[in-house]
Amino acid sequence: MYNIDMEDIDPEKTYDLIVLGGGPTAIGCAIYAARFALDVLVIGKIFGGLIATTHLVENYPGITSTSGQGLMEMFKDHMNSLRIPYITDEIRSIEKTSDNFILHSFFQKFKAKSVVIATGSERKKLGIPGEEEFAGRGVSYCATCDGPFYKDKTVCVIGGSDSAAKEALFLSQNVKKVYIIYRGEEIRAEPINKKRVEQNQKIEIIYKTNVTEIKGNNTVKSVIFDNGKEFEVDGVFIEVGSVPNSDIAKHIGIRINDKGEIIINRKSETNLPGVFAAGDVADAPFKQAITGVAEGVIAAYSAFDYVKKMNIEY
Amino acid sequence: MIQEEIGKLTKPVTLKIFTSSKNLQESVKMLDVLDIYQKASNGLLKIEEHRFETKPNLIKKYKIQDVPVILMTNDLDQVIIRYLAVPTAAKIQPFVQALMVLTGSPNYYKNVIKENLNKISPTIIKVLITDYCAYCSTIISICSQFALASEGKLQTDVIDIMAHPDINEQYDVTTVPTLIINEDKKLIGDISAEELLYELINKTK
Repeated sequence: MYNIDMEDIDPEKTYDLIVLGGGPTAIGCAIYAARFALDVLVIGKIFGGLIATTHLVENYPGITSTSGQGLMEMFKDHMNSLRIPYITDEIRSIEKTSDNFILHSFFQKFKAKSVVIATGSERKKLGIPGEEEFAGRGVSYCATCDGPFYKDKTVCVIGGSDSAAKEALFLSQNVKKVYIIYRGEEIRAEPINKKRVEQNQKIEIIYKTNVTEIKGNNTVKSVIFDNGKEFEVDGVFIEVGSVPNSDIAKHIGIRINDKGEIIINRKSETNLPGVFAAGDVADAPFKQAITGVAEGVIAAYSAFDYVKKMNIEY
Repeated sequence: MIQEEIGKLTKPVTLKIFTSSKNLQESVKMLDVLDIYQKASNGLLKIEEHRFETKPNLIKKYKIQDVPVILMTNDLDQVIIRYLAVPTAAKIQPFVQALMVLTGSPNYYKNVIKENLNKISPTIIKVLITDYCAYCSTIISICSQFALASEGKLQTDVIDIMAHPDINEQYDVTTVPTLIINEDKKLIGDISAEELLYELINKTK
């Protein structure tokens, strides 16, 4: 649990809204819900979401530059100022009753009139030999967490997205050399970050190359390219996108698309009345902290509207 | 932030800290930070300082190997939580939360831990962290509350591996958070409370 105001948490009561998730989308949603005077509870596996692992956030309006962790500290302070209760736990299933939802975790069950799923996404695995074996022994999915362990060493970042570029930029502060290994012909970073990568003497991009295996002894020693070449590195940072955490939705019959994303409309409604979704777990084509927050806010309003109508019917 | 968090404390609590001239810089830093906690606690937080070199009996009793270290003990004077880390930055909230639970505030995991207590062997959970780790705060919080609910069966050691490079080297850590369960099982990354409980029930020796 991140928020320590346990006294504010009552598993026996029926909350107006339970928000699932611990990232900016969930917290943004909860802040609006609290301001709509909804009785709201947030339940997240890890506070901060994926954004917390980003070393540089420069595109959140009003904040010129901060770290992902810094941004989430501000979200947390805002949430605490409204005394929004937060529990560190993972909801495993949602059960629909005649008038409510019952949410089950291993530790507790909760009742709610409405639910917002903002469970985000998690880093995609490459699925190649050596990846699992060397996880925590040279294979990492978080440069800000693990980068400092590679001071003056040679590492590679696998991927060509803006996130991959930012990981490489962060790593270049400590390591001897960073190689970005990308299967495409041009990295897809935002132009500002692409320029930074190109100007950075420590970063080199290897294009049109896939990594097919990670090798080592006790720790990572090299990667194998799809042309058969063995390439020596001390660390491998994998940044090949993310997969939505939508299992909870599948179990209750909420429609998801072929990418595993929850299908929502412009009101953040799912096909199941009373359940809304927002952020990386939903089917928006462009996923950013700011767009997630916006969807979370819309979800809060829709939940408010839903609960209000529900109360009138009573 | 320390002032804001420790201000939530409502009951008195005592922390033991063991310092050493051999690790003077870190010892002074830890004492300075605890001084901030103490001054902001409205007299509720008491700090008992012991010098490693002059208290061999206590060193033996609490099985202290590395210093400086902060000990949180229960009513039976059993060590529940050790901080081989200065409680600053992301460690502030789980640190204060542990103090509050130690003095009677609700513990979310308490009932389930108690239900499973007969399936859990005495276990030391080492939580290896750094200051810049985004998810470490949550993991420290889970492990600390598990220990606080376990009636002395579980002990959580929070270790800043940048301040203790020898421990870092011992476990060959390249990812944080890393959990070491009874010197045997190594868990890495953002594991959930449920996953940790599963490991404690099924995997401890």
